[in-house]
Amino acid sequence: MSVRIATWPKTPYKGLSVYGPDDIPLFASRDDDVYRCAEVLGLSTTRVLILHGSTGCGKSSFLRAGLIPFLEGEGFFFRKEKAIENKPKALFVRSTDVPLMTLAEELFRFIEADFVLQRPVGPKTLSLAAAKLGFDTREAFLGNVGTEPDLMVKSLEKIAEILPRTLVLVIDQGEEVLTLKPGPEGDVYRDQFFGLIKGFSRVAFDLKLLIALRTEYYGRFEDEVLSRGASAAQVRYYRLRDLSREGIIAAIERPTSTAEIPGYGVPRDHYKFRFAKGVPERIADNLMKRTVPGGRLPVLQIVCERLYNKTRHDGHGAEWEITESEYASLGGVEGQIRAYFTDVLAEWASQNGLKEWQIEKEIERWRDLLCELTVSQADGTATAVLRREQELLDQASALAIKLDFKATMDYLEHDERRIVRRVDVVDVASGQRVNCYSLAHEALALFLRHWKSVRQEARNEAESRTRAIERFLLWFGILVTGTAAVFTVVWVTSGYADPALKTLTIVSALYGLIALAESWLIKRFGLDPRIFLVLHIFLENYLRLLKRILTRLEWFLGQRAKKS
Amino acid sequence: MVEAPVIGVDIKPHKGVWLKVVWNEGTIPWDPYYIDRGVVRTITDDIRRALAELVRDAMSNSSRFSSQLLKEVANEGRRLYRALFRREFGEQDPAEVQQWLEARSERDRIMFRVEDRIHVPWGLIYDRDPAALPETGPGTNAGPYEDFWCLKYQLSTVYFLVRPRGLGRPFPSDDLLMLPVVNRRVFDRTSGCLRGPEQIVLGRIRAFKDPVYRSSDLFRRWQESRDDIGLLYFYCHANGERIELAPDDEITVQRLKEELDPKSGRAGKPVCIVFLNGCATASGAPDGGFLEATGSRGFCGFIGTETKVPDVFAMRFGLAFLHDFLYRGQTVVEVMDYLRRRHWPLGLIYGTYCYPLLHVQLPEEREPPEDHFVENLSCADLGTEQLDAIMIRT
Repeated sequence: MSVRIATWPKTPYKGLSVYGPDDIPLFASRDDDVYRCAEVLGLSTTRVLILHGSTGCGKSSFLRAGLIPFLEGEGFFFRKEKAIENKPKALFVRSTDVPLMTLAEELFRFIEADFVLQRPVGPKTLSLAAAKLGFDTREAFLGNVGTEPDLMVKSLEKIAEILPRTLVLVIDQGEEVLTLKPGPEGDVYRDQFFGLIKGFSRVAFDLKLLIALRTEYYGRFEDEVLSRGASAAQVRYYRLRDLSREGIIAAIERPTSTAEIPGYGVPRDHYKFRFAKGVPERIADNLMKRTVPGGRLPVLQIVCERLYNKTRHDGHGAEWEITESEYASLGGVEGQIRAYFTDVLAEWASQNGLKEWQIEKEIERWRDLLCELTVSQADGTATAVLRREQELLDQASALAIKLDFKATMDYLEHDERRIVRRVDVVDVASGQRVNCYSLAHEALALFLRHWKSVRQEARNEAESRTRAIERFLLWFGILVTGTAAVFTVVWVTSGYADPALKTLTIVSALYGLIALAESWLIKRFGLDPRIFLVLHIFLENYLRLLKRILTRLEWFLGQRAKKS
Repeated sequence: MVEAPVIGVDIKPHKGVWLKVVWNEGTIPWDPYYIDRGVVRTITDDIRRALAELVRDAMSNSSRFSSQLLKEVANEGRRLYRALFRREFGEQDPAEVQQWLEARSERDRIMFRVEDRIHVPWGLIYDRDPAALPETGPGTNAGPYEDFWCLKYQLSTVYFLVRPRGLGRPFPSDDLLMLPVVNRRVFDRTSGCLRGPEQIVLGRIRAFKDPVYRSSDLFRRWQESRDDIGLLYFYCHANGERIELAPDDEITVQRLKEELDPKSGRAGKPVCIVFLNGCATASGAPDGGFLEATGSRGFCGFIGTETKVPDVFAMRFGLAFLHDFLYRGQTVVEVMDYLRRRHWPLGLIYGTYCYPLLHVQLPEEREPPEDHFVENLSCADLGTEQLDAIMIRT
C-alpha cells in the first residue's frame, strides 16, 4: 500500500461533488454503516452485495470515501482509474442498458494491462491473459464474453485465480438495466445481466460484485435476481439509510470541529470558521421538515458550500463565524439545486462573454438541453439517462445554444461542478465505443424534470388561453360580420340610406373581418394574441393621431383658401 | 511486550475443491497458489485422531506420555506441512515461499486468516523430519518439539472477516467483565479436585462467584451487559458444533451466533474474546463452526480445543489461562505460548483462534501475582471423564 500524505481537502464542503479518498477527514456520520456494510461484504458466503439507498443519500460518497478505503485497508482490491492529478480513484463500471457488454469492455481493458504485484522479495508482473479465454481481440471478447454470462463468470474466475487479493467489482447505477430500456428491446440485456448474477452466485471463487442502485428499484431488482435462480444465500443486501438529524448536524459541523483527526489535525485550525450557535441545527431541521427532491445531502452540501463561499474571509488568517442571518439570506433549502445549477451556468456564460440580458435565456436553453438527459418513469420518479454526444449536439443546434457545446460540457463535467458525466458506452450493433453523457447526480434529474413539468404546465396554460382567445375572436368575427351583413341587406332592400347606419355597417364589417383574420392568423401560425392587442392599441393611437393631423391639415388648407 | 513481525497466510476456498493460499509479509502479498482441499481435510482428521490417541493414552496410562504417540502427531503435522506447500496449480512456486520463510531469523507472528469451513489446526504443523524426534522417554519436555508451528511461531488463526472494531484497545483491567458459563455438574466436581493454590486462583476471579449454568441465563445476562462483557468463558461438554450445559440444555453454533449478535452495540469498546473449554470446539462443522460464530460483530475469535480434553486438566488449564491473561497483562498469544510449553504435551490440545495481541491493561504499580501453576498439568490428575458432547439428539 502506498503511503498517503495527509492533506486537507481544498474546500470543506462539496456541493454536488462526490467525497473521495482525499476527503476522508471530512467524511462524517457513516462509520457504523461502513463497518456493517464491510462485514456483510466480507462474509465468505457473500458473492454479490447489493447496496441500495434513496436518491441523494450519499451512495457514491459512501463508497468512495467510506467503504472502499476501509476495505482496501482490510486487504480487498478495487480496480483503479487514473483521475485528475494522477490520483487513482476506484473504477466504477456504469451499468447502462447493456451491463454485460459494458463490464466486458472494462474487463478487457483491465486484462490487457499487465498487473504488477509488489511481493516481499520484489515486484513481479502477472499476466491476466488467461482471463481472455482465448478471445484475444477486443471485438471477439466483447462479442462472446460480453453476451454470454457463463463465459463472463469464467473470465472473472480466471482473474480471481491470478490476483492475490479479493477483487471487488463495483457496478454503479444498477437500476439502469431496468430503466434505460424497460420494454422488450431491453429483455435480452437484462437476461444477460441477471444470468451473470445467477451464475456468479453459484460458484465460489475469490472475487465479489458490489452493485449500487436506488432503493426505488430495489424491489424489482431483487425480484429479477431471485426469480432467475440466483443463490439467495450468496446475494446480500445493504440499505444505506438517510442520515438522521444528528448525522446531518455532524456532517455540517465536521469542518468546524475542534477534535483532532488522526493524521490530519484539527479541522477548525485549518478551515478557520465556525457556525453561530444553533445554525447547524436550524439547517438540519429545515432539511428534515421538508421532502427535498433529490435528497437532503446534496442540498446540505450546496447550502453549506454557498454559505462558506459567501462568508469566507481570504488571507487574514482570522477565524470567522457564519450567522443565522447569513443562512437566512440564502433563501431556505428549497430551490438550492436550482440556484446551484443557475449559478454554475451563469458563471460560465459570464466567463464566455455573454451579457447579463443574454445569460438568462441561455440558461433556459441549457436547461432544455439537459432535460434530454432525464426521463420520467411510470411510477413518477425521474431518472438520468444516457444520450449520445451527437444527439445532444444536434439538439443544442436546434435550441440555438450560444455557448460552445463541448467546452461547456467539459466545464459542467469537472469534479468541482459535477453536473454532467461523460460515459463511454459500447454500441451493441457496431461494437464501437460511443461517447455519451448523463447527469452526474440524480438530484439534478429530479430538479430538471420538475422544472420541465412546471414549464410544461405553464405552456399548457398559455396554449389554453390562446385557444380561448382564438375561439372568442372567431365567434366575435362571425357575429359582427353577420350583423353587418344583416344591416347591408336591410339597407339595400329597404332603400333606407341613413348615414349612421351606413357607417355602423361598414365599421361592423371591418371589425368582424379583422377579428376573423386575427383568429385565422393565431390558429394558422400560432401567433401570440398579445401581438394583436399591441397592434390594436398602436392602430387606435395611430388613427387618432392621423385624424388630428388631417383635421389640422384641413383647417390649414381652409385658412389658405380663405386668404387667397 | 515486543511485537514480532506479522506473516499472514490467507486461506480461501476455490470452487469447493481447492484452497487458495496467499502468503503475506505484513500487507505485501505473494501471488497465490492452490492446494487440494480434500487432502488437507483428511490430514486434519488424522492429526486430531493422533492427538486424541495421545490424550486417551495419557488418561489410561500412568507412565504417560508416549514419545511414540507424540511422534505420530508430529508425523501428521509433517504431512500437513507438505500439503500446505504442495501446489496443484497457480503461478507461485511454494518452494520460493518456503525458502523465504525459513530464511527469516526472527520468531515471527503468523496469522492464518481463513474463510473456509474446514478448521485446520495450523498450529500442529511440524516442519522438520519427525524421524529425529525421540522414540522413548516421558515426552513432557517441549524442548525437542520446537518445530511444531505453535511453538516455533506465535501462531493464531482468525476467521476472514473485517477486523473487529476495538481490536487495538486493551481491556481495562478493572472493567473487564468476564462471564463464566459452566456445566454445573462437571464444574462442581472438578473444582473439588483443585489443589490449594488453584483454589486461590479460582477464588480470586470474582466472576466465578456468580457463574451461569443455563443458556437462558446466559442470553439474558448477555442482553443486559453485552456492551461490557470482554470475556466469555465456557467450561462444559461440547463438540465442534454445540455446547452442552446440561442434559436438557444445549447451544448450537447457529443459536450462539443469533443470540450473541451484539447488533449495534460495542462502539468504542474493546472486543469480546471467547474461551470454549470443552471437547473439540475447534474442530468445526459442515455448516460452520465456532470460528465463524465468534469471528464477527464485536467478537474477535476464541480459544478452543482440537480434540477431546480430560475434564480436570481442562479445568486447570482454563484457570491457568485466566490467571495469566487477567493478572499478568500478557497478550493471548504470549499466554498460550507459555502455557503450551509449561504444560507439555497436553497444551497442544488448545488452539488460538483469535486475534493474538489482546491483553488486559494492568495498572503500572500492580505487581504480577505469584504463579500458582508451576507444575506441569499434563503430569497431574487429568480427570476420568472427557468434556465431549454426550447427548444424542434425534
